[in-house]
Amino acid sequence: MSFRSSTSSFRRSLALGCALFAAVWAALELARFPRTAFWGGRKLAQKVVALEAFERTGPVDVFVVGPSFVDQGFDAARFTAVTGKRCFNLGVSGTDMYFQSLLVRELVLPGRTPEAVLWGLRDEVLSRSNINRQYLAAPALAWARGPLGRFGPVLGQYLPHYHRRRITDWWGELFPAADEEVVDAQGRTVLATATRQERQAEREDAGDAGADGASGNEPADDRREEEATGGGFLAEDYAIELAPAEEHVEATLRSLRDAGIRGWFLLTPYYRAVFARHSKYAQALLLGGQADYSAWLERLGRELELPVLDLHYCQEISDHEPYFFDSRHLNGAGSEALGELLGKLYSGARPTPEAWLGTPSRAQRAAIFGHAPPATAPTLPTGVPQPLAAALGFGPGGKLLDAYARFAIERAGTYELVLIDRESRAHSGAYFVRLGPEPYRQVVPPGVPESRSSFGAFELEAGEQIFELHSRTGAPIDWDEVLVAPASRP
Amino acid sequence: MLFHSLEFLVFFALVFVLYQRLPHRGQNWMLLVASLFFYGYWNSKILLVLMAAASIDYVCALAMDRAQSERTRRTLLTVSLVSSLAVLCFFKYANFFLDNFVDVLRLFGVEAVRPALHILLPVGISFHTFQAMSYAVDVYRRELPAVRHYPDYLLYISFFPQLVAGPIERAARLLPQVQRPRPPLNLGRCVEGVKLLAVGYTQKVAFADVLAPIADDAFAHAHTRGGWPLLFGLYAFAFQIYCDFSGYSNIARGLARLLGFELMRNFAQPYLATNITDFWRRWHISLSTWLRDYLYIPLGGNRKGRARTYVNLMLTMLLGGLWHGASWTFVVWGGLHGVCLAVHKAWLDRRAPTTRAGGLLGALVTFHLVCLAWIFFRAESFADARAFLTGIFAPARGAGPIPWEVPLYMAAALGLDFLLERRGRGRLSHLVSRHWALETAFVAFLIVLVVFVGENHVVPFIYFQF
Repeated sequence: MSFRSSTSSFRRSLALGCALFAAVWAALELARFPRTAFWGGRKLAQKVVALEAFERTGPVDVFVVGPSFVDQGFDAARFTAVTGKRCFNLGVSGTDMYFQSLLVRELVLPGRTPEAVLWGLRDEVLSRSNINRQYLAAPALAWARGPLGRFGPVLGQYLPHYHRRRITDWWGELFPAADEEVVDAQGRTVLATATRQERQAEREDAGDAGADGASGNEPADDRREEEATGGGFLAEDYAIELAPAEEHVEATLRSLRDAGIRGWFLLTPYYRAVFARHSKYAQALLLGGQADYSAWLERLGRELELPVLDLHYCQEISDHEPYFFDSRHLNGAGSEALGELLGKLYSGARPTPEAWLGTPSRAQRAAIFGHAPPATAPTLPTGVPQPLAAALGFGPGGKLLDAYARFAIERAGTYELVLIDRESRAHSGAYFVRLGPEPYRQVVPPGVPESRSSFGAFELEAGEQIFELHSRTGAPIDWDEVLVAPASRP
Repeated sequence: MLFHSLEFLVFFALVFVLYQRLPHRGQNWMLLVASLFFYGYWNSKILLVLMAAASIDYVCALAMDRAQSERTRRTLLTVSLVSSLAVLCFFKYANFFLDNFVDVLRLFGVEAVRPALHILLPVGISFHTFQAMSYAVDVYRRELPAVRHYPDYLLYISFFPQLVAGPIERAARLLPQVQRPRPPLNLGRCVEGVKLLAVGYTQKVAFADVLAPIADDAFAHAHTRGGWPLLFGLYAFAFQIYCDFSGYSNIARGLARLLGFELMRNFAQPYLATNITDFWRRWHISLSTWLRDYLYIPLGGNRKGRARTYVNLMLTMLLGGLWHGASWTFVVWGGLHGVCLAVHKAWLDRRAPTTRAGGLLGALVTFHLVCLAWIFFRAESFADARAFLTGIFAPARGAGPIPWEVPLYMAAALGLDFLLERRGRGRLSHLVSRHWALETAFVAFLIVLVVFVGENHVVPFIYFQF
């Protein structure tokens, strides 16, 4: 090919070239395609478009941020209907608190003055999900962290190449699939209508029976997510450390408070199967696997006067299977129920039950054991075997699954907990045990015939100390006596 | 600083504007400073390597030029070549040689602990080393006078558009362009430069970068997938590496054109080659001609009998493979090409198919032979290469997503080549070039592709690692 070199033909070519480019750009702008490239992914880009549209009719009073639990599980329109507050769901699936903190700083705080930000939480500050990394690397947030600050995203979103997509993605944009998830006017991702039962049936048909936590084990969805995102390269390449991420979140929350914006921490409902006493979730919760995270949330809540609302087990939603898309995610009906419940709690139309405050909430423990922890229990002496029947027991049909007592400790020191079986049977169960203020321990007896089995040594202070023994498997506790005695010195 | 990064666009805009306002000497100084900045932007330490190697070659060439004795000239050439190769071997092959040395010792029952060497590989070292070596040889052969002005020589070695991944320019072609005043920028050259940039960026951003994750995914699952996903993944890699490297070369040529330089064409529709010899006339032309002129012919070429010709061919291709990277998989890649070239030479004696059907069949066979060799080029190890190769013929091994979009990108890349073909075979190309509006629309379309189609993140050029 050879180009004309005369000035007139060059000008003509330049004018035509610019006109053609401008026409394509203008067409894309007019079509209001989400700026996927700029925001790092389709979901956030869609939300920004929806937010801009929603704000044309008035400012947002309440923002809700969070991961998929919020994105698809919170109906902001229902919340608005109950409270009269204009609410927008800014939850983005696959993201963590650090990313959400960035979103609050770069999208909510600049130029917006909502009265509250509700922050839906996952079970950890950081996520290694690929989606999260993709959003974190997006130009919008990368620019915001650069020297241009908040002006980066403002300027950057007008650049043409932030419409860039792969050819196949353009095809999907121009000709969306019939079953594509859409974002509603107030930011909620509208799922297909499949409920947990329907998904379960589909999987059973596909030969994947029991995959969705029906047995009470860890939900298969989460396992799949971990398998998909927990690869070696992700672990190596994950640059953000926990401490700076927590500091970032704390700083954002302080900025919110300084701007007069109320904050709420929120844990969204899980399906009741998650709380089966033999589930991995119950194990992690009782053994203190998330204790640091919970303590951090509690501390922040205290320092910044943020309510920590733990709805993980919220009977009116958690027990209602048609509300769930899978064990941990609400579907459309569930999102409406949560929107209504939160609306009532937020507006004060309904008082917040004590059992939902703090995390893990008392309601969660009650869900695991099937009863609320008793306020009192019989006090037993140390040094001599005590019949387990003397403890406060719970269990269906006369079976003992949970036993509560107190032991009067006269002198601080190390005490051994021993369970006694007069018939020397083999015990194959597993138990959650607690003696004193420490978290539960899991004890698995050796499974051979024995009359006495040590359940461990505990450091105890003088005074009355709580004792709890829970069957983990649901098998009855078939020990006869319990002994708490000073540990013999080696 | 990658050509398709924001930093580079700002850098080049500044260089371009300043460059147009300076006289010839000022332009050279500015280009030299810009080139050294561009190279040092990766790591300032590698600048020392570049300048040290260039200085030795410069001094040796000057001395060679003045020396009358053949023996002295030969000694100086040896010093120059050995120093260049020593730098290349140390930075690129030290770990490779040590690993193999330890393995050989083990064969003889000697247990040796390999010292851990943390050597930084200077980007583009293979390219500028070959460029320096060709200069020294040309001066020795008296095909070229030695350069007196050191900055001119340093600019020849470090000229930023082609510094890190070629084309490997001969001194006889590039040095005169450095030394003589270049014609002022005219509109025709400006538009030619923009067109090359548009084509290069399209190849890189809209094709290669999009094919990259598809190829990566296929090679990452070589042991667990079989059949179509692997075959399409291989096609994806074949076109990824072509579009990536050809895109780089076109961008380099476009940038040089805007600065008044003319760089050689590095690719000429290689996947339309009808035989393997034809392929090497079209693929990475600056390397293949370098290997021909400075390795194959000095080894004797085809002048010393049939058997020696095959040996020379194999040796050239094996070293060509090793030039790409310090791994036996690259050597095998070169060896496969060497075998194919030797077989082609022996059986067909470079006779091109005369019928259209024969040409098509030849192109298909050649493309698949080249793809076969790409497996060894891309795989991390021989085990991976073997798994990939056997997996293509074992669909039952495991299912995976079939990237159906690959043929679309293949057709688009070939179509772009077809439109750019100068040799008169592409009638559409002829039609487009005859009408200014069509030509403009074509370039505008490419720019639209670059801006609106592709990956959202910056993917490095494959050949930067060589």
